[in-house]
Amino acid sequence: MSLYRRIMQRVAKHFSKQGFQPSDYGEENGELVFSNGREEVLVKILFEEEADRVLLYEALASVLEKSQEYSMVYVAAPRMVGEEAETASFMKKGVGLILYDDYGVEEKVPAESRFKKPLSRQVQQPAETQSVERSLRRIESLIRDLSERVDSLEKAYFSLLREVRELKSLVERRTMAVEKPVEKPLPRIGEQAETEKLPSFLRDNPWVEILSKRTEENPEA
Amino acid sequence: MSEAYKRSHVLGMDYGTSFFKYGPISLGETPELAENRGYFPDKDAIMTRIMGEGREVVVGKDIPLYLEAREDLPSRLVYPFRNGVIDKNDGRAWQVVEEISRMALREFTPKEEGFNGFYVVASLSAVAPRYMYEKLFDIYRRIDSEEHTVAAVTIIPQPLAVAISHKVPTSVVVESGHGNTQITPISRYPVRTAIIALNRGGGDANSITAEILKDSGYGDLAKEETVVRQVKEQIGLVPRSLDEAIRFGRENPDKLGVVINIPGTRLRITLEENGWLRFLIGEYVFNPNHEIFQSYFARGMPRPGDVKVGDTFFLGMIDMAEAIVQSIERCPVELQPYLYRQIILSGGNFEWRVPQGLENTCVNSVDKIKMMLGEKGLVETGVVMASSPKYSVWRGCIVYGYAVPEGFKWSWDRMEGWMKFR
Repeated sequence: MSLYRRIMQRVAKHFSKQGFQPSDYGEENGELVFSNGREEVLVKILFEEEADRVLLYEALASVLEKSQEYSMVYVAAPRMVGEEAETASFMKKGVGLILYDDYGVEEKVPAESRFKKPLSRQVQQPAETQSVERSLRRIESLIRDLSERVDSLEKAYFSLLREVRELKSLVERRTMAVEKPVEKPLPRIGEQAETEKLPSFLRDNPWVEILSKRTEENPEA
Repeated sequence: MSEAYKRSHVLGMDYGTSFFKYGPISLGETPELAENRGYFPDKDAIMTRIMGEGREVVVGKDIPLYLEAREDLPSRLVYPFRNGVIDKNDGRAWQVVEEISRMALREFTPKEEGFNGFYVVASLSAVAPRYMYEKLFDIYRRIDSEEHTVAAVTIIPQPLAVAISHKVPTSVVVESGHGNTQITPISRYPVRTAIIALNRGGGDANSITAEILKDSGYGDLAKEETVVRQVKEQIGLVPRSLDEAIRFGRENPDKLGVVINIPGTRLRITLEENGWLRFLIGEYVFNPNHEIFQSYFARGMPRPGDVKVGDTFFLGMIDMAEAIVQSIERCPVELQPYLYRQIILSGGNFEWRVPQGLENTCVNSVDKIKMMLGEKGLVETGVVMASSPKYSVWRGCIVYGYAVPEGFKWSWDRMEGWMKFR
């Protein structure tokens, strides 16, 4: 296993503890990309034989250029170079600094998270609220429409009810006007209550009176 | 039994040509209906044995369950009142009458305590002879002795029942059914001596329709009675004046051409140039004396003849208006104007329609009779069609039973009153 790869594995192990897995090995330019599914982290590794302070700052400048594309950006440098470096520049720019040696890896300066999720949460929350508000406005408008329709139906119902009552009373008055005079010719046959229960062909039928006298009459007369 | 009991237990039975209408007063406006027929199943038939019943005659709604696809089916299916009169010795017809009467009484016999039988008002044709009354009383006597469901019976002529249900005490009822037409003047009683019967009815209109079908190239269909009847109902027209209608029809064949579809079949009958023949069907019902009918008689169509059935003569060729006039003229002169004012037409043979556009050439039955009477110098006449013709006889029976006093005993002289068996 090459030296580069060993250093990369150490760095990878450090990030794997935080839930990140390497997604891209850029061995040529010493860049590693880690991802946990939601966030991506860029790590620029300086290797021992070429490392010095100038290269460290160049590495800082190069990750800064790409910082918009990742949630966090790091520079990983040999301990002997990194410890001499001024960490203030890293902290100021929000770039993480990782120091490594043969024994392990240390995160000297934690990177500032540029993760979009928290940002997007802030952006999305109002959007969700807006959507809920829109739905509420639509429901309110529907309720208003329904309420208006119920009002108009109620008006129509009461108007029809009034008309039905008027027609009913008119019919009753007419029925009474028609029936009153013809109820009189049936004095011999039963009570009035009984007559009302009879089928239509029996009511006001002159034959009832004629036939009810059958015993009294002589047909030959 | 009390008058109140009688009124609440009146039961009407109308023995019509095709349908038997029956039921008690409590049914209200309309009776129960059953086809007036009976079926004599083949006792050896496997289905009869499976059903496990030894019924000699089946009536009512059960008939379809027993019908067999047999060539002798027509002889096993008996319509006892097909011609209004049942022969005295026609045992099977009387058996059907008994069974159907029994069925009606059983259907409505209440479970109530205190039920002591119905007051049955049966209705027969105006020309039913006395023996039919006697036979029917015997049937009810037998039923009551076995089932105790008949308190008393009376029988009235159907035209009287029609007049009663129409609430008209003085009228002439012209009843035209399948087999014949009866004209009965009524003035509080049927004037029996003035009844005139014609040996012409819906069946004769079918005969002329069959001839028209033959002349139009549908001779094979002319043999099927059901097809002929349907064709008659669809194409038959009553002309205002037959001569003028024929002239109009020949000059305007497009207005009378017709295509008939027989429902449920692929049969299509087309009358184009022969459309004017449609007028012959209606005219024949009212007056078969036009010379044009002679050619049909000459070619074998049976001429309606004068016949005697029971005690009654049925006249064949007399025109309908002449028959009405003759009937009314047998009544007292003073009564005649009142009779002319109330002529009630009843029965399926008067149901003719006037198609749109032919109002100047065709008439309905009411107008035809009015015109025919007008031609005889009678202009002050009132002619009406019976309303609810199907139920009017049953309704008349109910009114009769309701009103005639319970104590009024049957009189063979007057042919009315209650016949009691116990």
